[in-house]
Amino acid sequence: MTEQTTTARSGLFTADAAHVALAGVSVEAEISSFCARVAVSQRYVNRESHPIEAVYLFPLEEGAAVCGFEAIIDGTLVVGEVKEREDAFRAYDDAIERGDGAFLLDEERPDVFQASVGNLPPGKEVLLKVTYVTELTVAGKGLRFSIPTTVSPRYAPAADHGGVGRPDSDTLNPPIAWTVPYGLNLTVRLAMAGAITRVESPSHPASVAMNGHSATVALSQRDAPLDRDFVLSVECEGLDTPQAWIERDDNGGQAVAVALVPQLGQETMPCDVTFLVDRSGSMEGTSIDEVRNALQLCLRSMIPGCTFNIVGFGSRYQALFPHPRAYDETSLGEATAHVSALSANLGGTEILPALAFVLEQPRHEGRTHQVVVMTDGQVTNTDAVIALARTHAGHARVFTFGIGAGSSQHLVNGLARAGGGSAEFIHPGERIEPKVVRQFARLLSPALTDVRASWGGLDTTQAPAVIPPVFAGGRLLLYAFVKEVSTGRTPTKVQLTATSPSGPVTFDVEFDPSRIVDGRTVATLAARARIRELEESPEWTSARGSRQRERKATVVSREIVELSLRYGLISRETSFVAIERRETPVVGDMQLRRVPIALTAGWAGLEAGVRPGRAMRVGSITDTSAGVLLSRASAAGRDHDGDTGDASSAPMIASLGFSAAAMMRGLERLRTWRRETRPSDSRLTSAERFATDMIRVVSLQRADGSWELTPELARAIGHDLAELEAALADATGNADEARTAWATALALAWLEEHARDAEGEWRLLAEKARAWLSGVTARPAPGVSWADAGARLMTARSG
Amino acid sequence: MPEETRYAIGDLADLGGVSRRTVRYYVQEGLLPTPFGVGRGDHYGPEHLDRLLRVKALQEAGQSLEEIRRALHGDERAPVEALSAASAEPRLSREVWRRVTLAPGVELHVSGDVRLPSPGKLAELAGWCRQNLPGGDPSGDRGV
Repeated sequence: MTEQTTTARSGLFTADAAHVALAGVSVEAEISSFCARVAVSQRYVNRESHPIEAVYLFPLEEGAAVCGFEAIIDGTLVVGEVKEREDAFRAYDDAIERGDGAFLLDEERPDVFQASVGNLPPGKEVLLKVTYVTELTVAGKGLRFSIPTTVSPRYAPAADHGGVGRPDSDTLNPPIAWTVPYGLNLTVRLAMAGAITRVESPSHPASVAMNGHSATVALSQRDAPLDRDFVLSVECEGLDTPQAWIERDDNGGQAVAVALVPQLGQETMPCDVTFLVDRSGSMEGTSIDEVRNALQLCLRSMIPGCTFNIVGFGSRYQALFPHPRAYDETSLGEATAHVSALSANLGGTEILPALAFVLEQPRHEGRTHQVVVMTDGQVTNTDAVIALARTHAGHARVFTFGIGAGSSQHLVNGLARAGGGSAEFIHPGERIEPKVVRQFARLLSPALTDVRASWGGLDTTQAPAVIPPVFAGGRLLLYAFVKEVSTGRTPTKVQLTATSPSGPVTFDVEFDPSRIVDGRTVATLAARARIRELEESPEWTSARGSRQRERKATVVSREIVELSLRYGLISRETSFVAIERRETPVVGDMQLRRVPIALTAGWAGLEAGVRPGRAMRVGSITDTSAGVLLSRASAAGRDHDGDTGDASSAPMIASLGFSAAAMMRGLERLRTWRRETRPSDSRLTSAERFATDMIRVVSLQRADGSWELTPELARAIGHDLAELEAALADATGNADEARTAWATALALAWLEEHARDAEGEWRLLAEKARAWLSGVTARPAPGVSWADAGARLMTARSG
Repeated sequence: MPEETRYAIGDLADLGGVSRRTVRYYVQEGLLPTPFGVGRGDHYGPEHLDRLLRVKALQEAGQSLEEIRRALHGDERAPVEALSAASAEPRLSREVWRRVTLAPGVELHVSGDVRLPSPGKLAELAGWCRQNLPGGDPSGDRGV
């Protein structure tokens, strides 16, 4: 009687192609000096005998300014317009009632969007094209560009179950299938100001053609699975050169953008660090392996004088130490042991109480509390978590690591933005060392704070209004709308002032008035930056926090709407709607088809290689408190028609909704099933893949910077312990000290010999080691330095 | 059905104090019966408003949609530890106060065992409220 049965509420199935309306996704991206313009095309086909409404929840880059929405049906282009969210839905709903075609694009989170294709007649197909512009993430010589493809199952805390209407746990958890019958095709074109020196994708096999300042990248595989984010790392010259752009729109309005990478000193200072580590079930597998490795590196990047603690969270949280401990040999030893045994066994993802606990810890007077969060961020209460970090921003800085193939960009970036820190993403297969070292260099070095801009006396609206702190190697990207349309004046320069550790500093960036371009890209990004600032403001998040009533309008939400409408942008308050007028109305029993999405690769430790075959029916285990749950494959894998369920109308899929207890039970069943079905030709475990030689060497370092001469170290550097001990025969001074100095010199020599390319990654810990060595009075032989002796042994072996 | 006794989706949403999206969602989820009429349906009756207000009240009281759905339909497949239909049904019928939104800032509270006025009467009442009790903008910025 209702459309209720169109979504199967239990079981995890292989998608049945006839009922999956999405036929393919293609992405075309153009990267220029500081931003990317991306067009995502989704092709929907109705292969059924009645009209359908297809609903697809998909991710986009978190900073995406979605500025275009079009539908092409029967050769006709229908252009979408931006309306207030509920007005857009009304227009969509009215059109369907009339028998017209209707297309809707909603922003559910800044990184999660929902496309609805309403009233698609049998046999018809439609192409939806979503266009956005986005800033590029720059770090040093490199820039990182990503195309998210998957919305991982998200944990909904109990508080998010309240409220009226569709719960977030449902909105943000689309049906999940083992495999889906649609794939991704992707092309990226780069045209940079400086020469491109390296282009690679750590996430996908891709073909790359490079030619000076330009490059083209395409996926090697056609119709690649949408189960992991596409990531592109680019190195190119000139990224750190200050740049400024002026753009003029049709009405004479001007928008400017300024990019600047300030050169800052690299001096370090001790601080109080708390690691907040996601140990929820979804982190199982490669994600928790990455966390262990990243933590080992983090622990060794700290310097004497620091205090630290490690807090793990899931359904509950637990701290390693009752109180933060001074960073020394004993605490490092305990932490190392703790980290090696760390597992993703704490259940749901209750990040909010855990973060509150960490942020409310008593703190050292006059020292900033640095919080390092490692998570996949798969929760529904992202707004509340970001708001909490913002309220503590005065005394705690939050740095984040997004872990896994589909971590929540919004949570990971938003938390760092709100907490005045910075974010790094660790995708499976990417080297984590440079990211950890970069993050720690920022954390231990003072940043540029209190950054202000003056726009040469012009009347401007700046975005963001409050400029975030700038870290060593980080890029500041700032926009402004020039309000003086009538005078026609153009800005000539912008002056930035800031507080640095050594006092006030000033940077000037000149504009070249002869290079004003026509367009709306800068204006669009500027509007998006302002909207983001508004959407992350306490006024807006608190109005959304109370879900007891439907949404209330506030001054902030009105400003978001006004900006969105003026610049044609989607936001949390606005949606795109496109209507296809039909001469012959299509009326009939329209069925809802939620497009199933592929489970994120490596999510909760599940690997693609052990998925059940096609059309395998899974026995359902429905958890009553959670509503819906993960399921376990039945032993025989009965055919789907043989089931007594509502197979006729409800083909394929599971919806994953979680409560903490429910999720744990479900995951445990999945794991059992995975163990039972793991292929006998067991591949390398993910832990083995990630434990690189370098991490083995680094993780043996002690808090004071030295290494011990142990069998583990000898193995890690590929030498025989007895041989190394024999080399100490001529050593002078205290024998124990000589032994430790020898081990330290060997480890340093090994790093220099075998990991020279990655020197930036071990610079901090090597400095610590050299400082320790400089205080040693023992010598390997009279008149010989430890460094020389170590280098000689290392090169003798490799030569 | 005469105009007197039916609601368009917009009226139903307004009186229920929910968005139109929420009405469609409740129908998709089987929490509200499908509307009358062909295709997507074009009108709703008093029973829809009654049910909408109850579902909303239960959701506000913190019940999950699954619990509400089970309470509404009874679910013989539900495991033993589930909230049983027997314990929820009395709450549905008597203890739940239904809150009809007559105008911005004006609500009519009706106990579970009192019948709601007819659509025509409610429309009259809502019209009177909008005329005589203006200015109830629930935007929350009523001066701090």
